[in-house]
Amino acid sequence: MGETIEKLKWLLTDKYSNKRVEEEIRDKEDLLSSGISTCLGCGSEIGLRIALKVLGRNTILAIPPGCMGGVGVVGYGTTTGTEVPVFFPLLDNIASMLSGIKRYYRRLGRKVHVLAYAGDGGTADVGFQCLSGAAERDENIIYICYDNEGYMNTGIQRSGTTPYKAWTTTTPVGEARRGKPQVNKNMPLIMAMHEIPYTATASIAYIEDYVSKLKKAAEVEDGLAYIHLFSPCPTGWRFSTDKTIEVARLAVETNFFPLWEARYGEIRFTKKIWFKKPVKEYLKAVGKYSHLTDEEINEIQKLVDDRYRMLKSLAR
Amino acid sequence: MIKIVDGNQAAAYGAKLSRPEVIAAYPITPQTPLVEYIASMVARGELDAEMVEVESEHSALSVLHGASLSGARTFTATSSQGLSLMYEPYFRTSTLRLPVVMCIVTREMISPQSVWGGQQDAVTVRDAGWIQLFVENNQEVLDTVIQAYRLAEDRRVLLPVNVCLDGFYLSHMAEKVVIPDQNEVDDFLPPLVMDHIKLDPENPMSVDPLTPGPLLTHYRNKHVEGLENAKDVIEEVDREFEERFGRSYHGKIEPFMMDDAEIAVVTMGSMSGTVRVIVREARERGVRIGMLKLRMFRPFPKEEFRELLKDIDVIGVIDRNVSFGFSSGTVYYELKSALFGYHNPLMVSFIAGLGGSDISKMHVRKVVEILEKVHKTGKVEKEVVWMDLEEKLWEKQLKS
Amino acid sequence: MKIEWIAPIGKDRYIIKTGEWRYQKPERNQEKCKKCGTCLIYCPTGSVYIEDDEYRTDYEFCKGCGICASECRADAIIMVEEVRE
Ligand code: SF4
Ligand code: SF4
Repeated sequence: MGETIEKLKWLLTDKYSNKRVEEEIRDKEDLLSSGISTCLGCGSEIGLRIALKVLGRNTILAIPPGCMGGVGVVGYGTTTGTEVPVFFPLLDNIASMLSGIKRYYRRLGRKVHVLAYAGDGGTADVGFQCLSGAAERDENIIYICYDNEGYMNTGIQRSGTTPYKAWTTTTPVGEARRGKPQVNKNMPLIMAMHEIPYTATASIAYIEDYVSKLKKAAEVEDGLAYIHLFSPCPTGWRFSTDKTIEVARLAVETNFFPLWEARYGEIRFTKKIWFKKPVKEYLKAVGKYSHLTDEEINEIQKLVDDRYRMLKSLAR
Repeated sequence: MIKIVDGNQAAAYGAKLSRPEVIAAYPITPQTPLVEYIASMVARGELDAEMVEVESEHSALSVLHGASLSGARTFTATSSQGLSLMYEPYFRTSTLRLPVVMCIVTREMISPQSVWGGQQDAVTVRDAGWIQLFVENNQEVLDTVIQAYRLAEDRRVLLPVNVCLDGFYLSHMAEKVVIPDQNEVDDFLPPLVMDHIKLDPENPMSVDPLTPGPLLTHYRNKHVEGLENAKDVIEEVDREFEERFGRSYHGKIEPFMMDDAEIAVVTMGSMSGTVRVIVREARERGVRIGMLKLRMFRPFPKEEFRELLKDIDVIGVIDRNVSFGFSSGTVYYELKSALFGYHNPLMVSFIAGLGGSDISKMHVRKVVEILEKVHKTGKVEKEVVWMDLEEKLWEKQLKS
Repeated sequence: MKIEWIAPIGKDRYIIKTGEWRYQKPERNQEKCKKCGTCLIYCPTGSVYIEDDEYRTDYEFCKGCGICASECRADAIIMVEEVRE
């Protein structure tokens, strides 16, 4: 009986769908240099490699300052880390530079994907104004935020998406303060509320879901497509390098990071969690939460439940 | 075609005739009407350009970065606070070698809160690697915008250009302006070719990879080379412009009544008109005085100044800005350092026209009077003269 | 007129031999492997490939993170310590 349940559970989990998506993407060209110097077990590298596989060569890629820039995606000296045109925007003008590129190519009558692969700092904090502006102007760009919940490239500082109570080097754990005192910005929902053609959350543990969202984003022609990609960081979150996918999966299975998409603000869940796990299981897997007391964990559970309930009330 | 237009409109006509493909701008006083003129040209279908109504000046220039890197001819305009918000992409426009043309409708920097004229904004960003041209009247505004594209896009230069027109004094004053024919401008200004840096899936490259010091030094050196080349190219461009359109602005510096002069007044921007009148007046009194109108402020035409000023005994520089730190006008100290080791004239810095104050005939007469005195006595009593300050004009203003 | 290198661009391939960082190495037991492809889609460095109908690892760039071993449902991959001089 227990075994059957286990089997059933597996059939309902992501791993089941891996074969389908693997067949779809495995023969696609890998446009990202293999030898980029990300940390071991980097979630964001998976996200970028797959995004470029799906979007293909006809893409212009923006990599703002941050992890992906630091590891050589834009190259070093006279080199380049990708086979598509790639550039460093400023941290705070990503969406604006992309707007200019897309407008001109559209004027020339040439169809190109104009893609940002930006961290949470450049998206939710310093680059937010121009992203919001581009969304409002219906700029036809694809914007992926790889959310590793902090300024990892500069050495793990808090950002607007760092979750409540999480440890970072600027929200340390001590007698007086225990991790980040504030709750993170709900960035994907903020973007959905711009009523842009396409908004989605995605996770590197759910590649099939991610790939289907990338394809939908690529099809958008009348405005901005935004994907908020949950991307655990072993170095900054304090877990061992082989656990990246497991951590990402737990975040979805506990509703800490639900997977959904929205067309013009109309929300739909893309991943039904049949056996919801307590948030504690996720928090226990991640070192940056290792200081949490049971009371604090309960508090976070409540926050997660509240957020999920709000999302559900908005969803179809 | 002759029209009565203000400076903003003249700039808009200059831009339109240059056929920019992507325009992005954010409104700010005193540049706002310029954006409105452009928007209505686009709306009427007279100007076939992508117009991006951005949410900030930072984004205005950033949109142009993207467009220019894709190969587009681009245009924007701003003033004071907008320019300082732009500073981050501003610096990068030149270091990426993007031939963007941007009008600065010059305005005072706050604080104190002010929306009026002054050249503090444009002058403050002088060392960010752009070419900066200052103009005297609305005809020059229009013509210089067209010249600016030729200069920016010249393959020996490939740098962004500012056309700086005085806020209100030019931007909001209407004058008679000749609007050239589109086909004449098309002949003068061939389409832009961008291949030194480009984002194109058909020829993939990385733009701005992390660059180590020695390679960065190479790029800096090339950048300075481009700026130096601009000094010759502007002369060529201005000469060719004269051949085609019959109007010339003498490239970098325009000398006025400088033959046999002993005293020179150096000006920049719209004040030059008033100075011309007073120089002529002084000449009638027998004073051997002339004027040099500085048109190309960046790169600073040191060599030409050395040549033009070699026989001059006394120089007065009128600055509509303040160099905080050097405690004089900016053009003054730059000119002084350019002459050092070559000539040793007596020099006086005049700070005038700040925050929208007038530089009237009365002011310029005072300048001439002081310079005559210096010439006679061979002594500079006061190196830096702040106009309106001795008269305590501000106290009178408070009382009224 | 040809313009070369007046502005910062990159055309050659950026490659670091990240395989040299490895202190443990994934080894696949082909008999246990169910060919599900999980290791291929999750490998950050793109080091898993298929040859002769077998899933294999390219050790040139594999950093030895262990994700493939952790995610493999068939327990076909084990991480073995790698000693370097
Ligand atoms: S150890 Fe990591 S880098 Fe190496 S093959 Fe496995 S997943 Fe890829
Ligand atoms: S994950 Fe395991 S079973 Fe699946 S292909 Fe890789 S080695 Fe084989």
